[in-house]
Amino acid sequence: MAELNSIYLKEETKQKVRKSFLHSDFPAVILKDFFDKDFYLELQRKMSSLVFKKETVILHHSYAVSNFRLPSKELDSFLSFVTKKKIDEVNFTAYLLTWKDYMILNDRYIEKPGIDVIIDLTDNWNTDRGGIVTYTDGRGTVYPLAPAGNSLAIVERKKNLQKYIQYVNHYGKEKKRMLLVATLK
Amino acid sequence: MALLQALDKQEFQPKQADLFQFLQTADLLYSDDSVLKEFISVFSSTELINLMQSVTKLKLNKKIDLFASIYQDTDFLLPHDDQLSGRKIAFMLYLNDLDEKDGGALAFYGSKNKTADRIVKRIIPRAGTLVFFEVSALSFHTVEEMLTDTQRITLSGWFYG
Repeated sequence: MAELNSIYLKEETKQKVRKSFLHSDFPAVILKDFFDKDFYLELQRKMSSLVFKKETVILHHSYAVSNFRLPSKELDSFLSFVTKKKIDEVNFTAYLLTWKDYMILNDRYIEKPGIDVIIDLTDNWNTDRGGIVTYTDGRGTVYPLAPAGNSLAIVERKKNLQKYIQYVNHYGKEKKRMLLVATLK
Repeated sequence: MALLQALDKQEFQPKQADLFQFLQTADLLYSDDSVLKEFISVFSSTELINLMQSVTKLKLNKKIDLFASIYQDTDFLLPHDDQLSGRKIAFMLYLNDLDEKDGGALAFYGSKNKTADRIVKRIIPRAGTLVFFEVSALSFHTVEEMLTDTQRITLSGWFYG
């Protein structure tokens, strides 16, 4: 089965993505329609079959999590090329957020610098519901990642850059915000 | 109410971060409005500060902060403790009534292992009610999400010491 959208396997595309990632003031790229359609449906099906564990640390987060294996040589190769890092397999955590879920900044949960890889498995998520993954430098500048099903975001978190997930409000009741998140060390 | 009319003339800015989403004025201590000036003069008066000291047993100085907030549909303030240098007492004066269905309750958490545990007290805003509490490492509280088109209007701030 094809894994990535064939456009992302083209040398010209990979070069553009790498250049955009490595040479931006905010080192991040968001790639739409990233996976092959059938592969993406398979990821969503796998997500739906996971057993999630609810986690609540009131002063930091509320969401459900599960481990998620995504063996994809095409993905590993693509990420290695863009980030210039050697990658064998990326370990993802699946996050499921519904109404009243969130992740906020907390001094006890500071993430060390690294490269985040975020796969959005939520189709048609309305931004009015909250649930937006947002990066902040702690000095007032914020970088929200626009939600888009079948998108892949690569974000380099340099020192002081942290992320949070906006509170999911009551318009997200009975909806599910599904994300796969990994950090490349 | 005169306070509501005075606030109607103030500029509210949207405030949004990981922890909150609502509308808020700048610090009202510098407002030119006569009603607000009178309110501030009462709230920072020696008599009121002495009363607060007597009730709370906390040593206060004359400094206060005061601002107005409006919470609308989906607005919220997630759990936190209000701790910042010098803050001793947090207060909020509710200027309108909400029903349970509107959301917007002020909820307090108990603590376990020095962190927030479960909600132990919920206060639904009623016009004219003043709520105040000691700011400490354990004063965990939240403003629950607004669920309807009703606005939640408050005057809030802190006493310092």
